[in-house]
Amino acid sequence: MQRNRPPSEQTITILLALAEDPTTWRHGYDLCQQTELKAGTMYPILIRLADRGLLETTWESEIPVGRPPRHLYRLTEAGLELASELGEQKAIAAKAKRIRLRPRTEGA
Amino acid sequence: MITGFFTQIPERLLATAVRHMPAERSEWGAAMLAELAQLRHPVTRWQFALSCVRVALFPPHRGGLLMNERRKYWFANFGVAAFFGLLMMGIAAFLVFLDTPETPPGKTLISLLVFGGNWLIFTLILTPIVSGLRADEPVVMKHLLIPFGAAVLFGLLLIAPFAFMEYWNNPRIQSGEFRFPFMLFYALWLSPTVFFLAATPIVRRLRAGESILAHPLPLLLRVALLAFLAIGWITLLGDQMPCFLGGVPGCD
Repeated sequence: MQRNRPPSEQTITILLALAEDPTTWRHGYDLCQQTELKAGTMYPILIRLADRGLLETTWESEIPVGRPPRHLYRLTEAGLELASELGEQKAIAAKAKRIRLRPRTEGA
Repeated sequence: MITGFFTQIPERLLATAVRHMPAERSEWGAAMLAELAQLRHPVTRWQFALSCVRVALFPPHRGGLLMNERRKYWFANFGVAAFFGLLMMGIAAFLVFLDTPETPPGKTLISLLVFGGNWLIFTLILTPIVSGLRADEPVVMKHLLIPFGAAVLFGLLLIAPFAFMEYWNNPRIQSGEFRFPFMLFYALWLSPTVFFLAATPIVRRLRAGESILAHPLPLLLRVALLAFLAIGWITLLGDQMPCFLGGVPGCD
């Protein structure tokens, strides 16, 4: 049974990172570097996103010699929708914060 | 050769942890190992491996909460457990009052402290049970009240024959010379009720075809609690059985 709760900051970060280029398959370590999250934080979130049908996973088809195939990730339609929704919310929150922090002008 | 051995340690460490992952998460274990194989810098490899070992040892439950949410909701689980603990302790306090209505006023403070202490202990026992129940069901009271209601009913059905025997075989209770031992039957009811609640998440996972060995430490603690409750209940029942059968004069 899935639940509707607001996602954590880290989850939003990962969703937005994946939504930057939604058609491209991403590697786990690349995502760690981009989001500056540790693997121990990122993998449980990826697992949960995949469980909820927000993340699509696959294995590398062309396997280079001497190393195992890598696991690849990209957002599903539902994941992309959620990411754009969260991105809008984040942008609105950031704009509101900027307005609150703006110094008052003389006579305003 | 030695350098090669040491550079392999993060891989070996992670591979060992990944071997203990449940089958449903094994794909993610392989994914972390494949990612580690890409990294060359020793410090990065160690950092990545150690971070992944934590995930491999404590992988997220299927259908559960995100990790950060899980911590946050521990307090909510504690609150729910405290509420049910208060209900059950309230029943106990009422039964103590029924058993000893002439309690001297000086003992009231001690009784309150004992009540508070018992409530806290009971809440701490119930918290992981409530967490287990909430991890399997949506967070609404209805889905918590159903297992609690079923557990209460299970406990009552289990003690009903003994309560009947106690009354039927004891003419002194029938004549009103002795009070009915409410506290004894409360204790006999409480153990199977908590047993039922503690066993429910395990039964649900088994019925859902999930591995109960995915998280061995919580399972061990749960099994220890179940064994403690079962042994305590059987011992108490064995001790009181001659009284229920009516063969012992002056039972206490």
